[in-house]
Amino acid sequence: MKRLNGLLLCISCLLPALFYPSVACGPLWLPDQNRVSLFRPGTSLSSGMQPFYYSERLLHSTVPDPADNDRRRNCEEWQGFTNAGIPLLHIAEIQYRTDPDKWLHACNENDWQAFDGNGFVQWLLLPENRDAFDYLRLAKEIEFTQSGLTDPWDDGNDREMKRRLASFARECLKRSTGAEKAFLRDRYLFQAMKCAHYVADPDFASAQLFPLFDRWMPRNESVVTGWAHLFRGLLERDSLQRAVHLLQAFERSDEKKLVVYNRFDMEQLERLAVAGLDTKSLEVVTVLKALKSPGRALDKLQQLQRITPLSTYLPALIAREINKLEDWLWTPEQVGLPSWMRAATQTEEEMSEDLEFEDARRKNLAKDHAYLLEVMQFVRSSAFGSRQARSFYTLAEAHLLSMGGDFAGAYRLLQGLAPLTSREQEMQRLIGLTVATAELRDVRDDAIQLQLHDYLTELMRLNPDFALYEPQIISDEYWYDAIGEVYDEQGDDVRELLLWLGHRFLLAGDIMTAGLLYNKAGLETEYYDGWYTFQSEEANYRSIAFYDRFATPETIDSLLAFRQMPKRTAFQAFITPSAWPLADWYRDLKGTLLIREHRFREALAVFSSMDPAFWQKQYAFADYLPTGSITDLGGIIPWRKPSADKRERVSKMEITKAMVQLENDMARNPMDGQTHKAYADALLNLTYWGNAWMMYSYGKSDNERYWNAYHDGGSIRLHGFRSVSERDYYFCEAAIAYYKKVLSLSKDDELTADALMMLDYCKRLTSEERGDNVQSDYLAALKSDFSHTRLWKAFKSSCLQ
Amino acid sequence: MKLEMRRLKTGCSLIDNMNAKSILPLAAMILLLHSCGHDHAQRSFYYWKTTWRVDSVEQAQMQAYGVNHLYVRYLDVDWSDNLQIPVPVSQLTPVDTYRSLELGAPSHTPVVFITNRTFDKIEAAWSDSLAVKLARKIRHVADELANATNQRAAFSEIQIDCDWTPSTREKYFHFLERFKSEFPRKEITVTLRLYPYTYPQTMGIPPVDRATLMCYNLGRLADKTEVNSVFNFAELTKYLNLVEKYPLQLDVALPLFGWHAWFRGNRLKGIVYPRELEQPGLDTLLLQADGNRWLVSEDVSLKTKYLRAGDVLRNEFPDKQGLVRAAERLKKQLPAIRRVAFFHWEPNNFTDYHETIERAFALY
Repeated sequence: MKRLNGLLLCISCLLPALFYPSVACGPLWLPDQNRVSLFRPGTSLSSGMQPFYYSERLLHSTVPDPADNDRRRNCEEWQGFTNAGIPLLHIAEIQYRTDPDKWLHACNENDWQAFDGNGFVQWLLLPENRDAFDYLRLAKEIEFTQSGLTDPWDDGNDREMKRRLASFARECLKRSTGAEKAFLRDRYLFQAMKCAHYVADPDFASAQLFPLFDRWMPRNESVVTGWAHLFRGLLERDSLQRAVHLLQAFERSDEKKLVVYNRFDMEQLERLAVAGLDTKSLEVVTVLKALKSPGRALDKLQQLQRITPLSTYLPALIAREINKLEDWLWTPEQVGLPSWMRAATQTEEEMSEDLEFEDARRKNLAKDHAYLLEVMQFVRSSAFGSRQARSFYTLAEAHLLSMGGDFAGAYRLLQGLAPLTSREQEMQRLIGLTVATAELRDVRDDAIQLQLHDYLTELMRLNPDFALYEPQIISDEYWYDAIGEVYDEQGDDVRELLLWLGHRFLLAGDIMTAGLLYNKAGLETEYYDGWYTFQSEEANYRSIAFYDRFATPETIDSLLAFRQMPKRTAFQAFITPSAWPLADWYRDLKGTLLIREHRFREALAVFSSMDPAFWQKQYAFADYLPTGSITDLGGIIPWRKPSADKRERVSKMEITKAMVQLENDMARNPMDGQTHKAYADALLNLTYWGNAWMMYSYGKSDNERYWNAYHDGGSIRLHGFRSVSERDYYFCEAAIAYYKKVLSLSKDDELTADALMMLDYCKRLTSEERGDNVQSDYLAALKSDFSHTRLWKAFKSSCLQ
Repeated sequence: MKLEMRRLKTGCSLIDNMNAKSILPLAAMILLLHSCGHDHAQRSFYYWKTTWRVDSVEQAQMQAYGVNHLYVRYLDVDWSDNLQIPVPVSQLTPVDTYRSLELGAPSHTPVVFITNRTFDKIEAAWSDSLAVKLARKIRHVADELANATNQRAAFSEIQIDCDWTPSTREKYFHFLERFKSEFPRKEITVTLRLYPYTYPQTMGIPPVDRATLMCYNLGRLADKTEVNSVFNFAELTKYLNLVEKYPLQLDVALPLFGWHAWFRGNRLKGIVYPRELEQPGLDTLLLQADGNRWLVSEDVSLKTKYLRAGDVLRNEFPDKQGLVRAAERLKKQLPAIRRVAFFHWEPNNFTDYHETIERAFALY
């Protein structure tokens, strides 16, 4: 999953502070951001396969050799050639980190000060190594020509570059044939091949270069052989020969794998598979076919195993299948973590919202579980080879067992593996143990918590990318980095585990710990957690968003107690935020939760215990608190004029105090219609449609509608209200009940008309078909029986024109 | 809807490829229009490819539609993170002859698409440099086309296409002013999305001679309940109703493109393009759900996508009737339209739209 800052955010319409029309709403989630991927493809230890780590969206990375395997090999070859104990770093510095212009300047001026202390340069400058020096100079000139003339607005670049490269191709050929050392000879030939390709000169290449290539290169294990195969293939006119050389390039070079992958489509590969290729080429063709399969590819893996039973590509391809299964079995559309969260609170109504999809989803899950068993069987049948290879297959099987729900089986396999020497494999073992432990044991047990803590901290020690820095506050504009997405996915496993653990605590009824883990994870889920840039750290919605959805008032009491706890276990210390929000921020939430349950007296007690200046000083949404009386519906109800007595923004405490006062009034005058009418008006003001909606909710959107709370196009869920308070908030049910009570108590036509108008208005507000199309019995009653009232006249002039 | 898009076969006569019923009235209509003697709006298409490749069938097709103008994308400009400067991207290269500009399309307008992030990233001073460099580049592309075709294709207008935002407005508008000074005798126009058309107070009025109102991309692609995010006449009307008069003279462009929005449950999984659905046997796996929605009945791998049973594809090609109604509505709203265009010239995409194109053009 993606970290919080990995979002394309267009958040304006969701924020209370930014109510202006916007062309875009909500975050745009891309598939990789929602992936729950806990099988690390690096566990396969397959060299050069990183660009093909599974991603549903990107198919492959655009970084050809992120581990720099080819570059390392080249430096090692140079190290062997120099035979002078030169550190690899010195060679890499010149080969890959020195701008060609800087190198050529040093050559021209014979000024080597900039390379002082570099052993490779010192070696190159020795007279007996002049031939190597000359090679490197020419190689840098070629590099400069390829990339140095880089004013993209200059239209003359292309011609000049081609002229120079054509000249280099011939010079390299000349030097290749004249070179005394095979090491330099082969490198000159590779350079000649490359230049010939860039100037698109296949005639020169086939006449002059191919014969030399065929004589010198095929049995050469040098890294440049793989590179030369690529250009040989690209220059080749015969399509079969072309394919053979490209496949060789894939096999022999990590850096060229990606470009070869992109040169073939599935149809070409199918034709090549029956073209009578040698075993190695056929193996690579089958690998490419598997890599190009966005769906199931087990049949290709089985083909590969028949061609080369111990193919070194097999583990990486198995890892891809496991990652696909994670997508299909664990993504939010299926049973991914956010959806698990939803399942904890999902109502029957939500569950049945899309029966057709629900049916397909269930069938797909069944198919995918069956496929999981097939893959597991294949994994078991492949578990041969070196010790590390066998460890991979055990880790793979354990993960598949976990995905299939057999956590005990997974745990047994993982326990049977001693700590592994490979860092990647050891990380996978710890991830598997964390998942299995959380599923099998009682996470509330201190000893289990300590065990989980140890797994997590060891994971963070092994991989610095797992560091749990606090979620960043997002800057105003963020450009989503698609290329980094896959690699980011590899760096958030501990966060995903925290989310997983949070879910286990939620199921165990420990909402407080679940929230702390959720916040610590800092991952984006399908819930609205607040993406604010302008809130203070001590009262940021993100810190209470989880509790806004799941907590009870008692949860907040536990949280406040935990906050003050003088001594914590290692696990508790681990999940404690690095900086706590203000205690009053939690109290504000507790009071709000009580308001949603209409427990106004208890809410008043909570708000009264807070700093009275909190809503002015720390509360980010102060501008959205109402002004004036809680019974003032001016600005909401067309026929009521706003009160002239507008004051400063009113704090939540003052509003709650007014609500308690109204309740006291009703208790004193249980048969008084006016008193009940005032209470009903106040309740209406607390709804989505009222002036004091902020008493209920921490956010409001123009696009938000009660029927959109769950049917919002699948983008986000804004609130996690419980169903009763949701009906009050969006459907005004509590207010309507009191308006009806007014009807039963009223002995005054004006008051009755008033209540009827309000009931009519509530119906119009809350019907799916809003406005004038709503048919209302209340309006009919008003017309027939109360047209003589003053209110009817006001109502008529405001609403019925 | 037919998911497998039909292709025009190269080398066939125009009559082979177009519905004969549609051609005869079209020819008659063209004759009639040409004999009427009053000014008609020019008929145009956007040519939005990286190579100029218009074969004889397409030339004849353009002629049959009475196309007498093309907006030709010359190049894009995007920000290079490596170089930290704006760079030209995907420059048009002449592959075939350029003769079609003689054939019923005597004029063309070079168009340059500039990404908004270019203006987000560049220093203010670069707005000047970009104008100078882009002017030189446009002349260079025009020269290349002229060399390749042995004819100089004259143009009197250059169009800039950019989805600017309030935060990039100042730099974009400054660039436009500077760009105009590079071509004082040519008309500089811009494309105008419906949002800046509707909210000029927020988005500003570009300092140019005219604008082309791009009447598409109206809805939210990611919203499962959206009818059609590319084009929806009802949505277009809502925008048009909000504006009485825009301060610039406007031409209009209507969409002739589409795709399939791919949903799993309520979540958008991606876009599936028509060519991706040209796979044998696929049509039997797609069941029409309702209107423009298709239900995937079995798991199926496309070249790069794995569709699952239960997924939904929402066809977002524009509704034909809606396009004609839009053309009628726009004519009423903007009586001074000088040119009506379709975006974009891709005959494979509009094999079913011949009559629609004729009817829309005939209104002007």
